[in-house]
Amino acid sequence: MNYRYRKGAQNMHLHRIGAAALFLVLSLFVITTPSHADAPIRVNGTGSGVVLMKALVEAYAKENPQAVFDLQKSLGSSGAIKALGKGALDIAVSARPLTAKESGEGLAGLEYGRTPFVVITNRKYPHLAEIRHELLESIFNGRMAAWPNGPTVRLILRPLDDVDTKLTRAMSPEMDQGVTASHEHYPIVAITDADAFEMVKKTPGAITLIGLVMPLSEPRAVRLAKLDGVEPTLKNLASGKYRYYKEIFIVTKGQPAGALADFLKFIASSKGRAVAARSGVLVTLPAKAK
Amino acid sequence: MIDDERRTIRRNTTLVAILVASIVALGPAATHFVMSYSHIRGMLEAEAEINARLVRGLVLANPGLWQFEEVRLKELLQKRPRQKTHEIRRLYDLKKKVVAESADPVLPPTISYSCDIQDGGRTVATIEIVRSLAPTATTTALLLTLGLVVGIFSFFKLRMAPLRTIEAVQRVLRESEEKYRSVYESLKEGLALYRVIPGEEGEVELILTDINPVCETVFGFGSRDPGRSIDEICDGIFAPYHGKIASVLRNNKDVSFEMQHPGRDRFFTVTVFRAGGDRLATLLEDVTAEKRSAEQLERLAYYDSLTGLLNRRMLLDRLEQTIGVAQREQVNVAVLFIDLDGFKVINDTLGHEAGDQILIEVSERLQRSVRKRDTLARLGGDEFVVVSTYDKEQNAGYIAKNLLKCISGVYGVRGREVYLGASIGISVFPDDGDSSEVLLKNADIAMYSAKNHGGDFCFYRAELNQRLHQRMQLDFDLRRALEKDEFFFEYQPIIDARTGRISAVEALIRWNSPEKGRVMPDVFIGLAEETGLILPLGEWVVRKACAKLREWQEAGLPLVRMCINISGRQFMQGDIYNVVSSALKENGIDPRYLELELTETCLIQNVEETTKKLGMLKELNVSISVDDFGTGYSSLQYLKNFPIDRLKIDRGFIKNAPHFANHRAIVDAIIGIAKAMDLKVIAEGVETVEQAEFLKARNCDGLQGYYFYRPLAEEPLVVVLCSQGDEEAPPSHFLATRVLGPIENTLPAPFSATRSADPADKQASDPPSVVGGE
Repeated sequence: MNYRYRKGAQNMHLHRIGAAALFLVLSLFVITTPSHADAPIRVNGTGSGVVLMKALVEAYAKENPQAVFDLQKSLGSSGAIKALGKGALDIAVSARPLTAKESGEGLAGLEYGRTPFVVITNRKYPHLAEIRHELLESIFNGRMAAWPNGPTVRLILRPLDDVDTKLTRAMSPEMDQGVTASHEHYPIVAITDADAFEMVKKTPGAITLIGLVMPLSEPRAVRLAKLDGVEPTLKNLASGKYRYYKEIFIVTKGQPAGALADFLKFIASSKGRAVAARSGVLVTLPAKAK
Repeated sequence: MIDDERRTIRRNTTLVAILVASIVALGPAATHFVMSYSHIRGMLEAEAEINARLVRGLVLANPGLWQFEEVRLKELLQKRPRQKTHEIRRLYDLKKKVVAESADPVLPPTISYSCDIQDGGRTVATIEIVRSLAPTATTTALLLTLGLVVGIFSFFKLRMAPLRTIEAVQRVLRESEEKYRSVYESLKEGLALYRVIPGEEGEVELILTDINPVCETVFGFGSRDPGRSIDEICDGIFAPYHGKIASVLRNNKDVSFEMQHPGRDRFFTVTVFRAGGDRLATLLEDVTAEKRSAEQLERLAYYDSLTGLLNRRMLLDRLEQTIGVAQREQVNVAVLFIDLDGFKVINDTLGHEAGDQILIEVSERLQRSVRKRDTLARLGGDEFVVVSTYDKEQNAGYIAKNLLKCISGVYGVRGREVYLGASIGISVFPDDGDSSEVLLKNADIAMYSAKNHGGDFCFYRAELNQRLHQRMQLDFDLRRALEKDEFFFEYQPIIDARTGRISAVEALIRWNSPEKGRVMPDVFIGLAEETGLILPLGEWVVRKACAKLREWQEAGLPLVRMCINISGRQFMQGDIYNVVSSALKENGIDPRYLELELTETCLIQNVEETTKKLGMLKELNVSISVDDFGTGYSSLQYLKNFPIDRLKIDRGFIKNAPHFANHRAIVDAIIGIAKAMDLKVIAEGVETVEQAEFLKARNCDGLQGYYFYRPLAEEPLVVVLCSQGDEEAPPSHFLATRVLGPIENTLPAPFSATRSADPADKQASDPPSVVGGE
């Protein structure tokens, strides 16, 4: 499993070709997966993925009013993959690729897109428009306990095994140390990125790193900070100026059929891509996969 | 019994020690374990409840898919109150499959707690938390180990310390018991212990429980008596004293009484005292010896040990009583003071045992003679006293005559017969005194008067007392005279019958009293002998004679022997040898010029002692003569055994020798024996020419008497000696031409005047009486 961040547009382009091939294989599976016409399509996964799926489902439902979806509270990547394996879901949206074991269980997954991994703060405190990675490292290493204007720095962490934590560690060696150190000091831990977003939203002085999908799902709920002077936009991500992002995988089991197969085609379509872009996801699924 | 108590104490102590040691050993560990276990279990309960609530929140939020919220569940399970506490937290579904877990390495043994998670009253899952008990078990084990060590130590301490203390106490008790047992058994007194058993109506029974050996050996207790009543033991001798013994219990005060053991003729005191608890003790002390001693002491105090008669103390007591009776009954009381005549000679010559025998015989005779109501006592020596009451019409002289008749006579002692007389002094109440002391003293004075008058009896008169005082004054004056050197010598020459020259002089003592003038020895020698003054006076004579010899020698006078008289008392009691020896040595004179004159009586008192002393004196080379020969025992035996140089024939024989044939025969015999034994003979009291011629004709060696010289003062003697020294040859007819004539012319008038009238003449012709001769 490789979570290395891709840097620059050329690398993204090379991968786009491979991804298109994989999407074709996935589509073949989906086509062969039988689906009950009245059964709801059960979708769950990482918080960002659920938010993305919600937007895609709403767009798909406008065109297919008969389609029924079941979107519950985010189970997280692993929970959703597990539920998918148990047959409790039809689509799992994961922030990580499948493991070999999971793949052995008949699951199949493709990278759908990437969302910038951004720094968000509470709307009231601090009034932070931009943050340098040195300050971020100081916060994680406990060297900065309060914001310059007074409030306490309340760092919202994620579980150590969570993809977001791994992404945070990968930002720099100091950040890696900072994550370990901050976990030892009992900071506030949010289980999912949806939880983390809710905590930042409600807690003054709170700060965390999260996929861009979340703050875009509720504009003005939190403050989105530039990192090292670069605004976390899909454009900057696509151009490589913004270096930190989170992958989003679509995982299914068996051969999708019926409404499920139809929905999968929709999210890979240009309409679906547009919806994803509006949700803050830079779709990396190759165009040929359509 | 002690062993049983010891075993009980040992068992109880062991049990207590085990209990305490167990508490010490197990208590801390058990307490720690229980508390830790409870604490951990409480923690697990709390954590399980909290986690169950959290999980239930997830379940309720997502009832359909909650079990797939693995991250959230895991995160929930990972929350620890303390990160360092290792736990296993597992969430099970209904099929007991693990939904989520947070597992730290947990060492066995473990403790777990499970809590159900319910959704709408339906259990949907179970959360289990497991924690290791290893730290608790380790600490518990350590505490247990430590506790065991402390417990074992405590056990032995608790078990041993009291036992050691008890054993030490028992040892001390045992030693104490042994000590007191040894004292108890070695007591000279009998100690008997009784147990008191209360009876009816306040009476008590005393049961003998223990006795010491003395009780058996001295007081007749039997070895089987312990266990019997005090009234039964020792043939019931204590039965009469039961009440007295038991009174100790009532009065709580020791009781002591004296009792006699009827079967053993022994007396003992019984002291009864409480012996602690319900015990009484009787201390039995054999006081037979003390009682006998007391009786003996009483006898000694009131009775004469030799004769069994009353002694002086008892006599005075009885006399006082008798006086009281006489006053009431208007009768007279006669105190008859008896002193034996001749007893001293018997005592001195035959020894004290013979004397004692005589005294016993006298006392027996007196006892037979006196009436029962009379009092007979012995004051000491040969003095007896009879106190007798009589009517006023009677005469005490009659009683005295009876006593004299009874006492006087012949006594047989040691196979010999001796004669004893007595002198009795009589004082009468109320005429001669109204107290026992005065009556006794006056009777004593009267006795002396009687003795001085040759025996018989004499009533007290006031002048007798006066005479006694005079004697006391004389004794005082004599002692003072000796201190002030008021004595001096006169010298009576002894003529060599063959040559007519003075061969010796006899030194005759005189006293130049400041009050009385020149006092002759017959006035004071007797008293000096009685009072013992004769010893220093005799020594003075010896030293003075030697000093005179040296003086004369240094003056160039022709030396002659100096004869001095030695008192019998001085010879027997004094240290005559050392006195003579030192006097000779001090003056450096030739011992041959000193002659000691001793009387027959003196020599014969103790033949053995006399032989020894005379032998020693002879070794000094002094001359020894027997004075007054013929008046005493005149034993040929002593003449043979004693180293004697001369015999001096008593003047009594000389006086009548020219006229009576028997006297001549005695003188002849004495001279003959002396010659035969190679002794020189000197005749004393030669006063006439006939006597002198007779003696010369009988080859008498020396002549002494008024016919030749009266005692001379030193100065005329010196003249005589000087005049004699001038003559080359002795006068051929010295008997016809007495040398007295020319000498008399040289004597000072006072000296010549006193010669014929002075009692010293008698003294001078009676040398043995000068210094102690009898």
